[in-house]
Amino acid sequence: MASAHLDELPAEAELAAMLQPEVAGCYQCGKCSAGCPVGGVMDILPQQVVQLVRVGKTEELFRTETLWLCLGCGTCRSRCPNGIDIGRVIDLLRQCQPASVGRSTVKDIRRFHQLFVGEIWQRGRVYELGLLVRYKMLTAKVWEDLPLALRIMRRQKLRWLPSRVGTWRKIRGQIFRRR
Amino acid sequence: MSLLDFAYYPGCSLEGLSREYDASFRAVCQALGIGLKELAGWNCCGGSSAHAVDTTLALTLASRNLDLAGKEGKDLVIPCAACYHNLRQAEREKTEGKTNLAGGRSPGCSFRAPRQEVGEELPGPVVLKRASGVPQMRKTGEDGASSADVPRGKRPTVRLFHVNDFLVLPSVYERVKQSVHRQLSGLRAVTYYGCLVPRSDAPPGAVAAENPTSMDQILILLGITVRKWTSKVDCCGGSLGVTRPAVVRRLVADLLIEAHKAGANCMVTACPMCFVNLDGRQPEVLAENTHLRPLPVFYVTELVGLALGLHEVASWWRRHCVDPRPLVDSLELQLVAGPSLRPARSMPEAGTFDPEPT
Ligand code: SF4
Ligand code: SF4
Ligand code: SF4
Ligand code: SF4
Repeated sequence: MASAHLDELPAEAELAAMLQPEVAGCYQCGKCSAGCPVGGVMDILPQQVVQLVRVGKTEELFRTETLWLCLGCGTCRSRCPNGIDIGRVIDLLRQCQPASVGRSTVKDIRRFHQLFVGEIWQRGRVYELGLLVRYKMLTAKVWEDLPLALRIMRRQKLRWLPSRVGTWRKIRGQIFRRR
Repeated sequence: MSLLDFAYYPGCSLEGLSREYDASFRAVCQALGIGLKELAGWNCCGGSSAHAVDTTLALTLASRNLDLAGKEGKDLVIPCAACYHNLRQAEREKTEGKTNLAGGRSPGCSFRAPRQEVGEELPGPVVLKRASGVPQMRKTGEDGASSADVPRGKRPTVRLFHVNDFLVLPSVYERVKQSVHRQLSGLRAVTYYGCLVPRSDAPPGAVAAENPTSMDQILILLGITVRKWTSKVDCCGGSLGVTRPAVVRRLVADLLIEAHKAGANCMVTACPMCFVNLDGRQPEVLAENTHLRPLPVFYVTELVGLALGLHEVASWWRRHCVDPRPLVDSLELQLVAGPSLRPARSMPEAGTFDPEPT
């Protein structure tokens, strides 16, 4: 493959070195954790993510639930006195997580994001009904959210046929590449 | 009236789950004599998933839409918070990215994420193309200026507006003001901006990031009492909506409690995902929190439509999970002396009064 740097997952030290400048200013004031909407259900808090990056323990971060529970809402970045964008750091960590590593409790979230991107690959737009059904079936959570789904369908909120970008199959190759 | 024309990026949600947002936005623009041209061949912006999978992919998806808007040559209105956020990110990458490259180094580190395989579990696995332009990591939002503030000449592309900011553009605001047909004075609203729009525009720590006011301004114009509350920009858990509904229900419950404390009789939002969480999930949230009463949720565009006296409103209310009709029917809508909007195209002179049959 062309560039090893892009095609292979970086080693722990390499990844840490790449991320450390992003978190350099942190003085552990905890504002990020205080404002994080999902701090209460995370296994490690946003400020601990920062600290683990700083000490170079990115492997440990791959094994947290926090890695996939972060909403990317930007609250931490907005409130951090040093403008540290933890959501973005977490996104980059997600992209570097080896497929075989990670907590089984949050694998379904990773899978959801992949399904979502797969939807875009298919038609250029997301077909909500198809995505929901596929996710709930794949993760064996068919019953979860069923009342919501029924309520939504009764109100004819979901379309029955997907919308698509007309020329998508011609142009998607510029955005994605088939293996 | 001067011509007002905008390009329109609806996004996937407005084609499905939140069709009433799309319908009300289009109806309001038509009534105000504002032209909307849907971007031909727009694609999904990547939502809250693409950026978790591949940064380049996320930026490429969003920037294709920017290119389409650029070709159209019109400013782009975006109703969904997530779409707006993604397109703004891509816009930054495009404009500032170049500057940084010219400068030789970007501030922050130059992070290169490895190539990810997506769709492993799907038929026809795909690998993301990473031919050129690997994004460099840098701190976002350093300039903090909204595209609205930047003079046109300095930008290679068109300006982006979220619906809230669109409604308070002086030219649009003025038209709404001229056309308000009745005052919605019985409504006591809390404005829910959600997390992404204020933070896409305002730099960290800026007042506007924590206390945006565009939606408040427009509601006040409609005669609505806007209640102060502290959850304007709290996140509703949007991107975990499908995967962790219990987490989202907790966040929604918190929002409902705050709204009740503020003495609101409705909540107003301008994001399809916020709406699904606040309205669609409310029955379960109410069942889990028996001390809470149902609280109707509106899209800001629906209320503008109601104040303009549009007859389509009934078809929007039907799609709500928390029925807003009892509240709407209980309003004593005060007619204001001013131009009626029906029919939309031939606007009567200011001063004519069109009494509504009550
Ligand atoms: S808010 Fe910023 S400085 Fe404070 S702990 Fe979090 S990352 Fe560190
Ligand atoms: S971006 Fe992630 S870590 Fe930061 S506040 Fe939001 S959910 Fe928490
Ligand atoms: S916000 Fe979601 S649904 Fe809307 S265009 Fe973006 S990804 Fe598609
Ligand atoms: S408030 Fe919720 S739906 Fe709205 S932008 Fe934030 S996460 Fe998304």
